[in-house]
Amino acid sequence: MGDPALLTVEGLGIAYGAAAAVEDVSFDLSPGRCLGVIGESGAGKSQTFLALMSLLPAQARVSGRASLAGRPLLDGAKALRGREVAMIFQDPLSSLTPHMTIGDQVAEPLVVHRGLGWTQARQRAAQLLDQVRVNDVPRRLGQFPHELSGGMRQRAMIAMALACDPQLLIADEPTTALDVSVQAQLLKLLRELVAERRMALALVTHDMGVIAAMADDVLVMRGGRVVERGPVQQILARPEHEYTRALLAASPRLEDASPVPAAPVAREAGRAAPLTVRDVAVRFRMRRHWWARPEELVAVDGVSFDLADGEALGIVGESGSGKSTLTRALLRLGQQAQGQVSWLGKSVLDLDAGELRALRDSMQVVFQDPFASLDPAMSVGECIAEPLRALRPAMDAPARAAAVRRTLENVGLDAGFVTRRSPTLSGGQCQRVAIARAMVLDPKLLVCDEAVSSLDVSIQAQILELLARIKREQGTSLVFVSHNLAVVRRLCERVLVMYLGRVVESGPTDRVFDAPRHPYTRMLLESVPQLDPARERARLAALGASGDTPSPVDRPAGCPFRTRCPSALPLCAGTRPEPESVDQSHQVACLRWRELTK
Amino acid sequence: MNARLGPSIAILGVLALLAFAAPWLTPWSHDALDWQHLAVPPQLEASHWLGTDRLGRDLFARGMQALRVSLALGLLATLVSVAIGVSWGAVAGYLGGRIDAAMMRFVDIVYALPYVFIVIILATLFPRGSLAALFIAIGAVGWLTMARIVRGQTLSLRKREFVTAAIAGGVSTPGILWRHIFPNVIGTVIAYATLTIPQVILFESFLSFLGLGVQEPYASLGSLINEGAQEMETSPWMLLVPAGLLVALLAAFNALGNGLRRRLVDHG
Amino acid sequence: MLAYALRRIVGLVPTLFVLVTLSFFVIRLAPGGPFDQEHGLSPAIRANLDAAYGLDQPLAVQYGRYLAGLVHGDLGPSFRYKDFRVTELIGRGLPLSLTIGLAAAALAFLTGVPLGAFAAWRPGSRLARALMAASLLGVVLPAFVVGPLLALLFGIYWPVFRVGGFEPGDPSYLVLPVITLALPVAAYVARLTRDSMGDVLASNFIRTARAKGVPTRALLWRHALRPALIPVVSYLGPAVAFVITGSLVVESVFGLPGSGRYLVEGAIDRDYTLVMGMILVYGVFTLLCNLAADLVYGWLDPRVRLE
Repeated sequence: MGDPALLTVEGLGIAYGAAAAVEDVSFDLSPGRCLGVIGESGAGKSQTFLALMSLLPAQARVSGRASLAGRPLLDGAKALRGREVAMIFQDPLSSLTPHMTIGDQVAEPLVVHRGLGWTQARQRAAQLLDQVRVNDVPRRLGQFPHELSGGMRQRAMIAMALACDPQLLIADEPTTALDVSVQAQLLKLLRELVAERRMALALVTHDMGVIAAMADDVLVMRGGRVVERGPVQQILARPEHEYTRALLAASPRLEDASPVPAAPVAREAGRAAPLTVRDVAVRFRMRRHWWARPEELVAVDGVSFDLADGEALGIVGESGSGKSTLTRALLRLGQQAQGQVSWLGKSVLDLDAGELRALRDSMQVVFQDPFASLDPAMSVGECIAEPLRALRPAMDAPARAAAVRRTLENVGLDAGFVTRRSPTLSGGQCQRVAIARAMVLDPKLLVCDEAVSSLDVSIQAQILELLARIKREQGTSLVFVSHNLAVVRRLCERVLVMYLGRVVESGPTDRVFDAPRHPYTRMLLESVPQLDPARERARLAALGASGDTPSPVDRPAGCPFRTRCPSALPLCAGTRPEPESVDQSHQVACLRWRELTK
Repeated sequence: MNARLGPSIAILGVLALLAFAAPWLTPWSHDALDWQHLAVPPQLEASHWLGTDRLGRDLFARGMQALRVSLALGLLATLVSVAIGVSWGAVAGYLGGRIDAAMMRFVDIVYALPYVFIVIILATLFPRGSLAALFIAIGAVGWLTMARIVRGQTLSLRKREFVTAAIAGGVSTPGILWRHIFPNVIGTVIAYATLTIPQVILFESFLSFLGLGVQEPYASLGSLINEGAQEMETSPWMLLVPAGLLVALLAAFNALGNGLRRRLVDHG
Repeated sequence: MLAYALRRIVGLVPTLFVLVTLSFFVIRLAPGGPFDQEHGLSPAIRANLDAAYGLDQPLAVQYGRYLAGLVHGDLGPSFRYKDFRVTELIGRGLPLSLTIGLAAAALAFLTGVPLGAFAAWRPGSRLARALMAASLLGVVLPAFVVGPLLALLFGIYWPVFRVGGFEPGDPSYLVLPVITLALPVAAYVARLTRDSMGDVLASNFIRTARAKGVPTRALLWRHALRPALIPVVSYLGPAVAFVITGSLVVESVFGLPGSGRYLVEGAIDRDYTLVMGMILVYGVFTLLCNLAADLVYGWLDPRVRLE
């Protein structure tokens, strides 16, 4: 393993009252190496490192020993924090002090630990921000955290952590809240910094792909205990513990083949698809001040597609792509949209309130946050019965109760759940109830808006399986919105790729993911971590810089992607690309796609 | 947690019991004059347990009567304030947009004005001792905080996904207000209503202290304190008795309201 | 920051205008006039008086004249104290009232904030628990209860401070009134600060600052204090309003020659201009305090400045 261990942890335990959150955790870490700690929520991985840094709340009882280069951690960490050991956290917006400038926050450790004056410290801070590849450093120094994008903020956090040249850097889910393209950049940055400085890096994550990309050694945690440990190649290729195996199996891989189109019949010319969307646009009018002229924010800028019977269509995109705004507009649940939406022969966007209500029983939705989708004051049975009460007034109480029970069983929950309330359920159970509520009316269209993104990986797999079954057995069409390409690949036959309100590429999932034509699709695919460590390192090393998505308020003219596109030419600023056919159903909206295809 | 609510409820219970049972407990009425015991300190003789005032009126009887007035007015006025405040806040929070902005701007302006202005304006508009003036004055300030709180809650509830899901499920707007918004707001309303009661009682006492509230021969805790303040050099009990009752009443309501707020709002 | 300040100041003007207009018309609509109390006036003399004070003109004209006078800083003649202009009368008592009010507000915030912050920092300590219990009591003690009690205690039983009346240049007369006014506000501010500071100390960015090794004092001062003060500063406006109301009582209980009594007396005597003048003066003062609170708020929270 090379150098002697820098960080040693023996028998660490954390208890709150009678309940043990972490038990008997031991591991080593040497300089220049990265320890990946993986587990699902509640595994105790963050708690472990917070204990090492002495950042747990007062009620926590910590036992065991830990030391960094011979100096004690746990209680002794107070002397080492910010100097020999530094930590960065998951959500950079809430983890940075909102009223202090970036420059001051990055400079602060130098003032506190190295005794520098503020002016000197700020100069050094500018150098640090440069090292983490923050653009336009002089301006950033005087800006506040909310003025920066997510990726920039996290880079600032890293700069802050590295200010006093720590020997150990602890990163707690540093990229979880970020877009996948930004995540790749950040991981690449971390790798380079670790190598340059011969630091030890402890990386906590729930994503196997991140482990593959970054870790030299892996610690698998579950229920507060270490379940398996070993070098990364061994853990990923030949896992021994059944939990590790289950975790790997549940992690969706991009390489998986997508489902064979179930209803090729619908694709024949002449047969009208039940859902047709033409040139839909959603605009918000905003005023920055009450006397200023109102500005227009274009969230969705002319989107068209068809959806066949029993087909699952994935819509992928990062933040600002407009995918959620689009689906809500289609269901008329948010801002009013322009354009044409035809569902079951009716023009959805033009219906009045009464006609719209009548149509609601054929199109339903499941949201991202399972707990927020259920009214905590209502029981599960009442939640599921509500659409029946509203839209099937002729049904009497016994019939409703029977329907509720039936639907509950269909989603894999037994009838006993009828009286429970959402705060007592797990995330996966809540989401099943939400699906039951959506399916109780037997809708022909089900829209899933990031429906599995907040769930643990193993639960994700179960819910995806449930959705696939619903599609198969009941012939429901699915629109599945997600930022996770692997998940979309597992479930959807066709996919739309969106960027800043436009569809940049669309077609059968296999075709689009295996042979992408649009530079953005390529960038997205390149950013998805694979599960082979060797390929991962190579991929990261080869990654070019790609910046952050501009805010929808400042959409670039012409092609919206041109500001980040490695192949952009001046002509891309002049014309907005329209979708062109690559072949039968594969379309791409790029002016240069022919030249760029090898 | 339960320890917090217990003592307050007990104190309030005792005060309410005493107040309404007083006519049977004491031989004196609130306006009977005892010429032989003018301004005497608390004593057992002649059943003047809390002493008498300058005119020989028994302070226990007057104090309890004042307590009755305060409790009744407090509860009634609070009910009205709550009704106005909840409706105002729920409508503003649910409708949102310009209507919400206008409605809450109104609340902001009234909230920032010293309520003495309203009192003065009312004092010039109505004859003295008018109960209508009293009610309007109290009502004018009591509903503001409730409106703000309910509006905040409604606004955040409306954005929650279960409301969107209910709309997708075909539930009508009144249905959403009744089945989703109301049950989730009721806890907050109860907690803050309990906190409004002492504010209302305090305000009423303040008005009576200024001479604008309850008139002779009826007493309010405020008017008793006013009288007591004038006599405090020679008869301090005339001040201490009503002041003590008022403080106990207010403190108990506040403690109860805070405890409820901790239970129902912060952990809700 | 400057743009934000200017925006806020400009926003003040309409509110002021509304205040003046509303008060003007409401007072005039009240039954009775300033000369009703004067018995034995023949109609002719009465008509002359009315004409002399401009009361026979249509309301709109009176309103216009009043506004014109305002621009010149003239609040009109008092109807009751016939030889004086309102500006003079108010000017006599105003410095004292303002002094008491501002001192009370300052005292309330300067004691309430540190005590509340301490209670949030060391929540289990006995001092913190005692403070919170005391603050519960303080919130319910109104000026008209505390004032007489303090006067009783310190004026009569234990004469440490002067009670009753005022001699210019002798601040000991003001100690009890200021404490009386400050007490409920201080108690409320302490509770507010404690709750707010408690929330801030549990937040993520404080955890980051601790992870950086920032020492306790710098942590509280540089990182925690400003966000924690936001709700407290929002309370500044209502606090001042509260203090103004209380000052009426305090001036009455302690016999201080402030300007508060003009408001009450003016209302009772239907002295239009006097009441208007008082409302205007206090109203402007309240709005200025709200403005100050808004500006401080902008400094505390940079996100607000950009909106």
